[in-house]
Amino acid sequence: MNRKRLEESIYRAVNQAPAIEYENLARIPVEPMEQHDFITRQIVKKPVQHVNYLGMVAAFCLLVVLGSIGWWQFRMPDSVILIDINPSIQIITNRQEQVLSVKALNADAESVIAEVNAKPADLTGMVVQIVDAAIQKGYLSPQKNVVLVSVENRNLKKADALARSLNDTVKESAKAKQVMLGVLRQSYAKDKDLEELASQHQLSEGKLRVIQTILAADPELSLEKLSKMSMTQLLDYARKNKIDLQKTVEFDDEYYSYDNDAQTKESEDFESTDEEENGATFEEDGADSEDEDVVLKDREKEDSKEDSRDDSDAEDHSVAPSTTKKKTTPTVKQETEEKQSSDSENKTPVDESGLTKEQQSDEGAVSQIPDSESADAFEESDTEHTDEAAEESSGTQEPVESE
Amino acid sequence: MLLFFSFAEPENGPSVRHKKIEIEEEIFVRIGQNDMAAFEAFYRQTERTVYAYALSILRNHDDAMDVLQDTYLKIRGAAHLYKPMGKPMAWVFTITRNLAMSRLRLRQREDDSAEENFENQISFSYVEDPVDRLVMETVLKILSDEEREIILLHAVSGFTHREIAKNLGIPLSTALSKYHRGLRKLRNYLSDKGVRS
Repeated sequence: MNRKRLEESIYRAVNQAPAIEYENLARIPVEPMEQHDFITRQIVKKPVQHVNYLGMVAAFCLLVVLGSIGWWQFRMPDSVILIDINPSIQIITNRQEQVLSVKALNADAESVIAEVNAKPADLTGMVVQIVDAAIQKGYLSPQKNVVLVSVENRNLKKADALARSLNDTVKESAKAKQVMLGVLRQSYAKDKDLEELASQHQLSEGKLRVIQTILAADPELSLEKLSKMSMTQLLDYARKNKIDLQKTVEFDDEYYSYDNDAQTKESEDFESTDEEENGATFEEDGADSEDEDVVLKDREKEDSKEDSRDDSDAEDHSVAPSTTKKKTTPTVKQETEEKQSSDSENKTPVDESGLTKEQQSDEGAVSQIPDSESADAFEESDTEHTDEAAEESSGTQEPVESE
Repeated sequence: MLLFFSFAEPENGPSVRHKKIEIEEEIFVRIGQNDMAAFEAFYRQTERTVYAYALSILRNHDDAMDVLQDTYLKIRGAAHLYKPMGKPMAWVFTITRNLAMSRLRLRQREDDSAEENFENQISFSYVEDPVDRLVMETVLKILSDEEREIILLHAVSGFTHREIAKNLGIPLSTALSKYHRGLRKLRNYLSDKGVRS
């Protein structure tokens, strides 16, 4: 029998059963109930929920996967930022530029990192703290005022943007502490070989790139020797030897072109101490020295012409250190630094060689930082001739740049 | 002993025409207001379905008739208390089931051997066609409670499986599987008895 015939059979059987006459049913008296009893109560059943366990497991797995991806992306290093003064500090950030780790690449850096109290999650806060600590520890001062900011990222555009941003951050945070900095920046993609080499020499990769540029120009130097130099010294050495660092780093033109006596002094101090310690020095090429002498003579001639034109300028020149082999015309930035040097003179700063300025002058250091009197005099003329000095500085930059 | 029957198609063609039960919840409001016309309309439309449901639980015509009567009296007495929930027949089936279960408990309490004797008493003498009678007896004898309820309601009331599932408060898949399993049992049993279409 098929389904239809079975159902028809059932239907006929049920319909043939005797039924209650409606009239009889209607005649039975019924009292309205006051409330439902257990027979008439309405059962409110919750709708049967078909739990889809497979769906739940799939959703859970999806959640775990998404969560893992999110966490992985958060913890995934994106940029490696290297801050080189002499202390070399490595900061690793994620895509949101949140700091994942801070690492000291040499002994000096450890003392700087120790000064960083709280470790802020944001990169800017971390960099500001590091700069403050470097100033506090004496690694950054008006005499040692070059910072190299290197950014490694697969996306070179992002690396460059981040380097520029950090450039401003470093400058502004130092400026707040009355220290004017020259900031060099570079951005590059990952290079494992360089990274390993830098690690072997306890250098940052950023600083190593600068050193390699110098070494390429002057193969007589050694990596070991250059690695001991601070960024201030490296930059000064490159400038003196007309090594074009612009292939490697970007920097403020105004800083690179102006002649910082303090830097020269530090660099020469390093040379002298290095010579004393090692019994040798990394001398400049003879040709280079001759070239530099020619340039310096030209500058002196220009200076003497300017002296005859403007008495006030002549006064300024008399204040500026003229005993060195460097140019003597101060720029606006130099003026600022001279102010800082005069301010910091009371603190008797100690440079890397461990000698005070007085000791250095006693020992016959070639270049000298302007003393407080000359600095004061410089300040007096500064207010009156700032614009003129600025014009002069731009004029005096030309020969240096042409070098 | 094998019985050989054959279906004789009624002269007037297919005699089974399900009348779809269409009950609005408002009818309980009218019954609660002692509107006897509404009650009569309700009774005439649902009486066979309620009887079939009571029969599927009790498996006895007389008990089913008693429960049928009590069900409609309860509906008259409690219609004014009814809260619309979108399933008017579900309330009717609930009352029928509760009354039927009470009667079953009472029957068991009276005589423990009643159930065994009851199975021997299943007879539908009022059913004219012997095949129909055999089918009805087989439905009440070999099917499980749920299979019986679902097959009887589907055959008598014309409810769809979805409506049956909704009114009995069971999943649709359960209603479908039990319906088909019950039919398969019936076919096999009747085939063994030599019933042919």
